[in-house]
Amino acid sequence: MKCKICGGKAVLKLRSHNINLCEDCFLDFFKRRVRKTIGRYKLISKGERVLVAVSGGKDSLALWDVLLELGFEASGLYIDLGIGGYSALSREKALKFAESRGRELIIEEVKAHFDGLGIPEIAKRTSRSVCSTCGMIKRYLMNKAALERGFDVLATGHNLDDEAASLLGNVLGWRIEYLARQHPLLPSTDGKLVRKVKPLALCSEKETASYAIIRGIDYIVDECPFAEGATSIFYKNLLNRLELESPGAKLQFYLGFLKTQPLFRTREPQLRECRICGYPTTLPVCNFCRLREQLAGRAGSDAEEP
Amino acid sequence: MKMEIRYKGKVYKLEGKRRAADIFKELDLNPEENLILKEGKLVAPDEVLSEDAIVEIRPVISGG
Repeated sequence: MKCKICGGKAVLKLRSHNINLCEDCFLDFFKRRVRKTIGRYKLISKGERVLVAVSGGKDSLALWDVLLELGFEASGLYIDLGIGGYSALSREKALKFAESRGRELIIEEVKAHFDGLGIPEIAKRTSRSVCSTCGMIKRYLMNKAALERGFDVLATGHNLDDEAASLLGNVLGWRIEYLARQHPLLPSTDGKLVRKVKPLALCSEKETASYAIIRGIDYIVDECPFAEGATSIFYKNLLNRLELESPGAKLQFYLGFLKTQPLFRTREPQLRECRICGYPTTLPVCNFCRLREQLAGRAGSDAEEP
Repeated sequence: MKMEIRYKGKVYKLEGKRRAADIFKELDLNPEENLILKEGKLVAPDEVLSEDAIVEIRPVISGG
């Protein structure tokens, strides 16, 4: 198998792009793709300070690496979720990467905000699902960290498989309000909401993993112990079975959606300041503060539904 | 001599040399969701692995 660009020994067959590539040409291909995504959807402008949310996994570390390679000023944010050995190992990987690139890594600990409780204990005590609790807390802390430290934009490592699986779930449930917001660019609609971007949205999970491996990035391979049996993985499996039979199906599904996405846009919800923390929310108390109140035994009646 | 394949904490042993792509078929794995590595490097699907090769199948799909 020969590289379509240089004729050297190819290591990757990208059926969705009908191309075989060697290591070096694949790295160029991947960088071009990310740069194109950033330009096409106006995700990041030159000179902006980017905060990359890193988990220690392949996607977020590959994203941080490629943004640095493309010349962006990017620091990392690691949120320690307090999930035993998994968090300890993923934190080590994130720290190691930051050190190897000589970049700042900001660390936020969930336990510091919840009286020493990690995600599993918080979910258990409040009878919520681990994944939804984790997602909500991460979103809050990511936004807060970016704003308080003066970053212009928050970048996450969501890849094409993440986006296509999420889209499939949203379409199956016809969740219009989610479809309205699913995009590589989530603009800031309030002074206290940072712009969020997904520069890897057009790169498949296989491409992102290949990039991380070729670049020698030491990432955590083990899955979060709570992700086993997750619906998102089931949707990814379904889409990849489709991809196997019909190369390019995932990309077509997602790009087709993005073209029609404005049709789903609804009126932006009216935001107000959370009366406890001051961050934007649709009801008097935001979900994050509501959770803190609930754990402290002070749950209010005017909070948002989970 | 048997080829050793490490995948998700398990070790599979296969007799004889074979193409990397054939390993996916034999183990019923989707090549869109897995990569084959030898000594930490990507292995092309058409590469013939020797009967004493030690390889890792690295899943690329994660949840969340």
